[in-house]
Amino acid sequence: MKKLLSMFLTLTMVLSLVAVAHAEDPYEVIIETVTFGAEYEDIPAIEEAINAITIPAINVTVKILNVGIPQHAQKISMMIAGGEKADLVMAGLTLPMVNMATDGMLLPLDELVANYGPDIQALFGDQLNAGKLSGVLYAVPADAYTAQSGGFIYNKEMADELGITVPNPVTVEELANIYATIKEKKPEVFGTSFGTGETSNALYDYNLETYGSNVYAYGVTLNQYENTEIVNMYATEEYKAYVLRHKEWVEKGFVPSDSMTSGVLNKERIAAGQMFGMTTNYSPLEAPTQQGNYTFPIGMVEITKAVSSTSGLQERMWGIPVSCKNPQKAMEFLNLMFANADVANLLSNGIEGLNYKLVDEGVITYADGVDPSAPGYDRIFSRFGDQMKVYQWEPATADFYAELAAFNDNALNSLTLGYSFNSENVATEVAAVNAVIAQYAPALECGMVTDVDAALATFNDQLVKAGINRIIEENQRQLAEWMAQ
Amino acid sequence: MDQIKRFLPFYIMALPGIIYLIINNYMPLVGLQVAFKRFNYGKGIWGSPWNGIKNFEFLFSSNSAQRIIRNTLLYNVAFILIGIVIGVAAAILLNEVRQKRPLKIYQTSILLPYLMSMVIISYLAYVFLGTNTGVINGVIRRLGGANINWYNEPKYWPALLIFIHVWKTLGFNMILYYSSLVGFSQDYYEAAELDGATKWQQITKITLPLLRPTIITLLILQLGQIFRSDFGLFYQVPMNQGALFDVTDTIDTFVYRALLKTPNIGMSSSAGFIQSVVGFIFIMTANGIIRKMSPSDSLF
Amino acid sequence: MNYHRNMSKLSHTVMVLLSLAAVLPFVLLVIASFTDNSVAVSEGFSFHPSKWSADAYNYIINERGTMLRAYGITILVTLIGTAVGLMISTMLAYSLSNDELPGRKLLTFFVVFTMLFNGGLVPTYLIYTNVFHIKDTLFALIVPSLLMSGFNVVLIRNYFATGVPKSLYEAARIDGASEIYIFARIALPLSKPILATVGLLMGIAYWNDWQNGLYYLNDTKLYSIQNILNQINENISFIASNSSSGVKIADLPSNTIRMAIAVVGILPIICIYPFFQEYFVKGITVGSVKE
Repeated sequence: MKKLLSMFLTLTMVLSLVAVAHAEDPYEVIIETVTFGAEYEDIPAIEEAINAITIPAINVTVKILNVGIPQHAQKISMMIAGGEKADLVMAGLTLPMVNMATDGMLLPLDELVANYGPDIQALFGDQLNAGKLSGVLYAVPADAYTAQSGGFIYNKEMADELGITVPNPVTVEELANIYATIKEKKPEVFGTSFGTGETSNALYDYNLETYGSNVYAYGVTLNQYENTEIVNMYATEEYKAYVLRHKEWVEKGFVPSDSMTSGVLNKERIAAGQMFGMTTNYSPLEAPTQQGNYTFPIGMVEITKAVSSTSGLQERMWGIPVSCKNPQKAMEFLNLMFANADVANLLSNGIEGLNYKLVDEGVITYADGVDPSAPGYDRIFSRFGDQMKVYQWEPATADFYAELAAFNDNALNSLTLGYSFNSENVATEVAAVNAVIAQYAPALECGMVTDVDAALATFNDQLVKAGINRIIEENQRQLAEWMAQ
Repeated sequence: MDQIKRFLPFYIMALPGIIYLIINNYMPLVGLQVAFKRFNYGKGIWGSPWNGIKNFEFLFSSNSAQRIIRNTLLYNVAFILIGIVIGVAAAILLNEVRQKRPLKIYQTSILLPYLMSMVIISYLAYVFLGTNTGVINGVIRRLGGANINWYNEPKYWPALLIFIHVWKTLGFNMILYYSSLVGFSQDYYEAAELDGATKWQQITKITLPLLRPTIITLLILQLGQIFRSDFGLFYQVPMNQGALFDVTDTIDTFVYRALLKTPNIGMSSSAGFIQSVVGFIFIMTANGIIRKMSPSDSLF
Repeated sequence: MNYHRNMSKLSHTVMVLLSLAAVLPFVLLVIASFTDNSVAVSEGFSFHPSKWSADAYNYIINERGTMLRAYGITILVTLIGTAVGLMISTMLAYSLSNDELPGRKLLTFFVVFTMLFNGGLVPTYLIYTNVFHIKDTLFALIVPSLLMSGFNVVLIRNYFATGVPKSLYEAARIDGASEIYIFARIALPLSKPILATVGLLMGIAYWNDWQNGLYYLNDTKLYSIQNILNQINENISFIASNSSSGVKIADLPSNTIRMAIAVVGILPIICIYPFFQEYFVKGITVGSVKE
């Protein structure tokens, strides 16, 4: 009886100690997941499973805020403006990290990372600099393996049927020859297409540093792994060659002539067997994800050299918005997400048995009974945790992790890796230049302009008038300052 | 005292609407200052630093300024004039239809385009205008002509845009005028008919004068929107084709394109501010002129 | 009498032509929504697609639970919003239509001014979320922006001022009727055509609105039908204009679905509209009004 009593006493003491240690209520970290906005019924269960880990570890509970990507920029801006609580938001995906920082949406993270982010520092090392603007850290990359090259994805079944082998890496000249072969053997099938031309494909053909996702107004650096000169892309010989090549392809019928207006997505044309392939980002992460879009096997090859760059890292970043009520806890959770494979897996893939099942080492597929068209949870645009610790979906194989590591190890570093351009001083020029680009570039790049020389001349004339040289000068100046440090 | 007692019920009736306008429209007006500020989310509307007229510069620094102002103004003038003429004409004709069933069918059908979004209309327009697959080019080819590359030829677009706008808003305009027409007392017409007035005389001597207040009100209100444009009509329907910008680029589409990749609340607010100020000037002027000419028709 | 017949013929001819111009594109829309997607990809839409398919609707029907709930919310919001909005607009408009009312011009200007200047989304959002806390409530779909517009108020005011003979008001006042009585029993019944028109416009605005849901709802369970349809549309646009890397988009519907979405959004209005039209039948009985 005495023993029992003393045991009971010890137990209550231990329990009360635990209670004292965690006397405060756990802080709720609101972390967003960027999706297509569909409802995911398993989110509460996933939150619960994460809480079971995070409450004992850092006294934090998690709430997943599901935001559809088309509304993301607006919704997040408004929430931050309204002072609504949000703790970890995706920067870069829809709003450039630099703009979020200069618009005052994000808290500086230097001290938080130094004090509460040991695993973040260990994982990213120098790559963390990509989240810096004028020496202040505003965001942490969401993914440590972001080396990318320009690549080409194609219908492998069709290639085999026509006896085409696509070399890896492939050159644009070789691609042109392949398109010619297809035209000859299957006249009704297009080689490729440039879609609406609203986003340029130039960076798949050339190694380009753009200093911002899909922004060409800031100037570009060609072969950024060995060069730091910033130039107006639209005035380069390479761009002229690129445009002329596309014009030739339109004339030869390799690409559909109505792609700018037909509203048909490239993916749809390929899926319908009416187009051979298209240029795209290349990385070991891409092929397995893109395979999910097609019912036939696809092939993927590289065009440009793989490069690690600021823009790659800035594509997805975690920032702590100014409306966060407890930045320390938010950072502790962010750190835990990179350190703890279970948390990362829960956020990335859901719950084992409910959402997914393991089929191979580190490779998963839908759990039994899951309808792939309406899964209970899906991470679509966000990245959670260390991709080396996160299960990958089929058709990735167990080799995936080694491939990803090798790809990133072998990638060249951009000489400007870690540099970000702050366009605040030239915001007027940027807006004017972007408007000019929107007018001229799409038609040129889709090969729809007959007199390329004249169009390029007018285009560049307008760019200069809108102030592209002032932007480039400012960019070059900031870059020189950054390099001097 | 008597005055107050007499009009108190009116003020009370007006109150809910006034309170709503204060909350929904007047309180947010503090946001107008954003047009003159370097907006910072952390500091909020009041705390953000002023930056003079810097936010306005992008609108005028480009060579597009003249083009977008010209297009915005001219299209609006055309839309207003054609909208009134066709809307009134359609309403008068509809009013002549006395059989219930056709009346319902006409009203419902003509309103259909008003219910469609511009995205959908842009797709439908493409069915007709597509270069290779389009219905119109199909007809042209059958007649032995050559394809017209509609989305690459600016010269067709002023007419196309006006047509699409009129087509989309006709049902709306027609019903607005029709609801006024329906209210007119039949006595006037009966008396006129007894006097042997022709239909045309009835229209010009009775209907149009009776419609005048409605026409003038709608005209004034539309003048307030003269610096704004239907984004979908000018962006989606011409499929954002650069070759057409000379005749399709308006203030709203320009601002959208300029700020799409580098969003900036200050700059977009500055454009809105200019649109409001110009609309304000137009409305005040128009109202002032009308007050001079026929005081009872002025809005305020 | 000859004029009559000619005029009638002319009306019918023009109306039939206008109706056709409006209906044919709608028919095209319906056909497009039943076009097989791969045919749409290769041949574009046409009046006679080479292959038909109801896949687009299957996708929508797949989400049946969500869609039914969303329709329910839309109907609720449209009914409440239109009723309340019409009421406060009419009362304000009625006051403004009285030309003896002191401060009438100022009040009218107060109303018209709201059509010109707006403070922008951010301050509006701040007021509604921080002061009125409507986020993630049904109010979010009803109150902001849609409840009353200066335009509608001015339209109704105009009708009260010109469409209803003043002598009627005067007669009632002499009889000792209260202003409320005059408003409810004389002004309103005589204004059915404009009330029906404005009610229709408001109803359409509520029915088609997706912006309020977008801004003020995080909870997708409160989404209206247009919120869901708009989300699908926006996702397609996003994919079309962005090179999305590392994203699986296979299950994302495309063009034919947009068409189906439009049909699904418009059809209920077409079904309800004829009931509205009853009110367009001449509101004023001949003989009761003599000026």
